[in-house]
Amino acid sequence: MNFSCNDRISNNQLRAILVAGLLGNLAVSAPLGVIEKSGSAAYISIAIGGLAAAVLFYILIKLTSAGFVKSYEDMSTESLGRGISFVLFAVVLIHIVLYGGFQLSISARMVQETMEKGVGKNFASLIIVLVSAYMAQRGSECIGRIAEIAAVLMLIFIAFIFIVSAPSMDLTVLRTTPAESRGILKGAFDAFCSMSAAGFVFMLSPKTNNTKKSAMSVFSAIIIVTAVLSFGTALSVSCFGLKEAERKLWPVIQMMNYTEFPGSLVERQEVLMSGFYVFSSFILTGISVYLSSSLLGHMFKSVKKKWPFLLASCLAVYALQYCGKDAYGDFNLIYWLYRFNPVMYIIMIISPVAAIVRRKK
Amino acid sequence: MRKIIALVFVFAFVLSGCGGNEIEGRNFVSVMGIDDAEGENYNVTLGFITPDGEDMYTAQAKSIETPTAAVTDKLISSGKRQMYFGHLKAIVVGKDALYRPEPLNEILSMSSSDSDISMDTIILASERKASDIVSSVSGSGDGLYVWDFYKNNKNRLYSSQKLTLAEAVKQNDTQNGIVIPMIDADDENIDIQGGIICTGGLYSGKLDTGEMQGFIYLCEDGKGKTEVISVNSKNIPFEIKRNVNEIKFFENGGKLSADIDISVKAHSLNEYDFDIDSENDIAGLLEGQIERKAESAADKLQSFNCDALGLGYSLMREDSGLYDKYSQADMFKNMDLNINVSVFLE
Repeated sequence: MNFSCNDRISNNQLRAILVAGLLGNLAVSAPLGVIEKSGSAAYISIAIGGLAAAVLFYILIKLTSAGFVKSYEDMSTESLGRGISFVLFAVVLIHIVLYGGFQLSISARMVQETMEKGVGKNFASLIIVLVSAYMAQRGSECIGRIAEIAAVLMLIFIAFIFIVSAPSMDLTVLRTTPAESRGILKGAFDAFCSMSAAGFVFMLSPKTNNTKKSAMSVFSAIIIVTAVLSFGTALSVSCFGLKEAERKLWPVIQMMNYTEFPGSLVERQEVLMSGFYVFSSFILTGISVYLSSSLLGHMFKSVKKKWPFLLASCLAVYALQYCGKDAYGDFNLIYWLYRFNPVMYIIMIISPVAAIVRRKK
Repeated sequence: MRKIIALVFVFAFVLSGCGGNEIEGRNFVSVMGIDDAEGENYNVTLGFITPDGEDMYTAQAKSIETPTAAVTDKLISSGKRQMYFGHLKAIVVGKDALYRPEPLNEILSMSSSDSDISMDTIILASERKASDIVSSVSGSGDGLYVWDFYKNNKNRLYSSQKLTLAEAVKQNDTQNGIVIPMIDADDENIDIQGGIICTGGLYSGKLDTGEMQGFIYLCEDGKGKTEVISVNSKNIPFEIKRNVNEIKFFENGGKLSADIDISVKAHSLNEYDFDIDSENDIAGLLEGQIERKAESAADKLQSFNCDALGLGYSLMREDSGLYDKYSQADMFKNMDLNINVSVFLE
């Protein structure tokens, strides 16, 4: 069977990239901050925050999709001119590189902690970056196809874990106290920020074959991620109790090890889960490298070759792992970045809005 | 591009699956015993399996004196072989480590923060030194497999329950007390029955076999256990099929009270043809027996002000107004507990 390779993705692939790329990474980084704010009600906060992000994405993409052309980069250059779009690309580039780099750092640290303590963090990062570079070099379609497989595998496994774990949930822990209820909205804002990966969404959406349907793809992807994160957080708080879930660096991942597999099929489930998480990390790093090298290509059109941009993106993403001193340092960096996510909504819709206005004129 | 692919493959081969330590280079820790030692140190005894060329597995015990913060780091690198905690099945805490409030917190914190140690690890306490228990179970043929003991000896575990690390940490965080199942072992047998009561991390007393059985019903853990009633000098065993509790908090005469309704579904393991021909009478006997055990467990816990049932925490989540009114150090001790048992025979 011959597959087309035109660097375009289907809406299903867009959904798969967002689910596979965000699910694993947010499962590690999002619940911690939310549990701190809203305690046992963290699962409610995540549900509210995720729903808000999904609805906002849906509305914004519906309103702006009329301005979408071949790619975000072309759309920006055509509607804003080279000067303004250069500045815009620089901002988006920094955001995407930071996002990919910080998440890569957390992934590599988790590989070291849960899978093998003997493997160096920088070495694990290097392998992920090398494979991601290969994916990025092949284009968005390649990443989309891999994400389709990864998302299905991840969701089947997670659903199985949830079904096995759900009957033993301690619902008493999940009842919220008045103090926790007051923190629900604060936690929801944190969850909203962490799920608002607008840079990725608005750069990928114009690349779909049918841009009219991309709003629904993004909406369903964020809803899937929200549902899994919300239920996973409820499970881990229920399994470990609130204080321990707060203390644990990756409670959702470690919760997996507490789940007893039927027939003792798997001895250390959390390692298996970490494997899926690393899969997710490949997708996110791959898409970060791909998008950033593409942005660099448009910023410096005089350079005709592709590999210098790919190399620069890989180096930038890889170098960021040295920013965090330890796991808590990595988490602080990603939380700091999440705070800028809502601003990215505004930055990312400038180009499609300008394109619509330009066409009407 | 082919060069890049080749490079990735080369790296994949360089990355050894076991982080530079193959199975032969590791000792697999199965049981860890912790006793108090001088100062802030602990005497840690490990029962571990050494994969060996000829005998395949050899169980040994090794002791080391260290603060808990350094337990795993220090032990991992001790000796030629790496100590691997990924297959740890049980942690035994010696009674002497429970005479100060800190050790229990430190042991649970150390174990739960080590990503190699599973949250499913069983926590046990011993009236003897933990090092003795670990040495005994390491010496006996089946001793290392405390975890399997739980799986394979359900009938012998009627008077004990499985306390996992996750559950112990959760209880230690949310309650003022915890009951740790008690283990005793010699070269021949492992015996897990009864429990050690810890209030605020300190040893307070112990639950005997009957009280532990009552505690199990109060914790809704009765499913799968066997309850035996005696009628006309004949024993009738019943398998507990379901154990669900309902707790209602209320004020009564200016005192905090709680109704604990224990609902049990039981199934007779033997056919019976006694004079008592009514099932209700049999059920009544079972109800009485379970109620006595549950009441004696609750009385013992209240006498030590050990809220191992987590009633204070449940009240905080269910009725914060009532909790705020009665929240004080001896809330559980002064609580009026009314225990009612209903048995349904299958």
